Amino acid sequence: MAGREKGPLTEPMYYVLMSFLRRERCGTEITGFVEEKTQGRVKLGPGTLYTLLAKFQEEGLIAETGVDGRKRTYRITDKGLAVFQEELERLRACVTDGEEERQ
Amino acid sequence: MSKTVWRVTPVNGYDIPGLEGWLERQAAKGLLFSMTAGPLTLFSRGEPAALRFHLEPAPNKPDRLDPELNALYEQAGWRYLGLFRSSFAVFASEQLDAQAHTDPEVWDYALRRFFRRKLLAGLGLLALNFVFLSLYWGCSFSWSELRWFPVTLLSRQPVIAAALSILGLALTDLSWLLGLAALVRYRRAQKSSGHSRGGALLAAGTLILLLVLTETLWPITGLNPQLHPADDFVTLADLEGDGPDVQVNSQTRDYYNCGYNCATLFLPERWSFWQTARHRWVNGAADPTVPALKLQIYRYPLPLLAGQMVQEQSRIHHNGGTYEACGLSQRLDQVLLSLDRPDPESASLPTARLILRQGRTVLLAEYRGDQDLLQFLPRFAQVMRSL
Repeated sequence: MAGREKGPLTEPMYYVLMSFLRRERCGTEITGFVEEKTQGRVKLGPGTLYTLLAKFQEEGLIAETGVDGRKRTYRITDKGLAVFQEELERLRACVTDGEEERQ
Repeated sequence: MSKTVWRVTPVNGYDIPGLEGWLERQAAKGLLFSMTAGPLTLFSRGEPAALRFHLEPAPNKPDRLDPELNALYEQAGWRYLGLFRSSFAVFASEQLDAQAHTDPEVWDYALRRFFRRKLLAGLGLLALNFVFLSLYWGCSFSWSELRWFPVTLLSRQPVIAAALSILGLALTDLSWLLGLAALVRYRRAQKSSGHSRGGALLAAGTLILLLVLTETLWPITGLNPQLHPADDFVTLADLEGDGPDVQVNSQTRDYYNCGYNCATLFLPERWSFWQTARHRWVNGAADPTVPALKLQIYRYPLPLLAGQMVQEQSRIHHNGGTYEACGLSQRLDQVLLSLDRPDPESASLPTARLILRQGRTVLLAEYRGDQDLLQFLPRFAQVMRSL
């Protein structure tokens, strides 16, 4: 893996990283995004989200862009984009493999 | 009825599920978590409520809770209640199935980070160990001393404080180690290690260390006070008269020295005083041919201890001399005198030792000179009464 050495992303990780692809977001917006995108399938607890934001920042996948009261805004970094892309390709390969076997 | 209630935290401070369960049980009794102070937890009294608790490992600067953390939890229906020992932010939810962490891998990451921080906290604990133990570094004794002269030893050396320091530190260290073990087990099994007793250990250790700290910080006063012959203390001049050999210079510590230590939690109130007629030293010791007087007085909280001190001191044989009981007078409860066996070939002055007890006060006098110490019993008794 180019950006992330610790194995594939979990579902919450994947969707949190995905939430930054189109625009910057603050933490409270991410929960709504994931809920909407997955139609409630992926649950994102506040502890998980908070820890993930700190972890992604630490790993350089996202960067803080501003603070407004209790809200912090983040954007995805190039490294974050690379990790997401890599995960996307892995998932595509998984789907392709599965479909091939099914036929 | 008080609106706040203190409880000793019975669960180890790092046992997350154990603490969450305990806080939930307290809430069911109407005690809602507010804050912590060392091993104690403060609750506000209210209506019993079924609540789901979650302890989120606090961020790097736990004294200032991250507003973002609060906002995220509030959005999910959790209520922030306070910090638990700078380790966790405590949240409660009325939804009993609410989940703060929905990704085991991320939760494991948070626990690992918390574990590393607490491991580093061990350095602070190590420093605490060092500080407490260094206070008693000079405290040395043998087990036979402790067996045969316990009251004497405990009167002169901070043995109790040192022993309590070791016990308090051992309990605190053990609590820390058990906490780390509980964290490791929790990370591995993702379940509570049961109702761990680390909380009680920390409470006991903290209480003991606070006692020792109080003992250490107790004021020690009166070192080298400017005693005047008019004071009640018996001086060498009282025994020897104002001869040319007895030239007391109260400004010179070598000639005249008096110390007082007020009673502490573990040590009795004590005075010591010594006076040498002339400043002469032979082979590093005071010249045995000049008169000298040394007094030590101990005032114990109980007459029983004073009696034990007399018994222990009277067992000591000084240069062949043994203590013998003398007639009681001056309202003294015990009078014992020991005379050294003089060496006929030595020019040294004879030495007499006197032990007096009046109630819970013991006076030990060591006098080198020609005078009969028993003649001065009224003066010694007066000193003991005047303290």
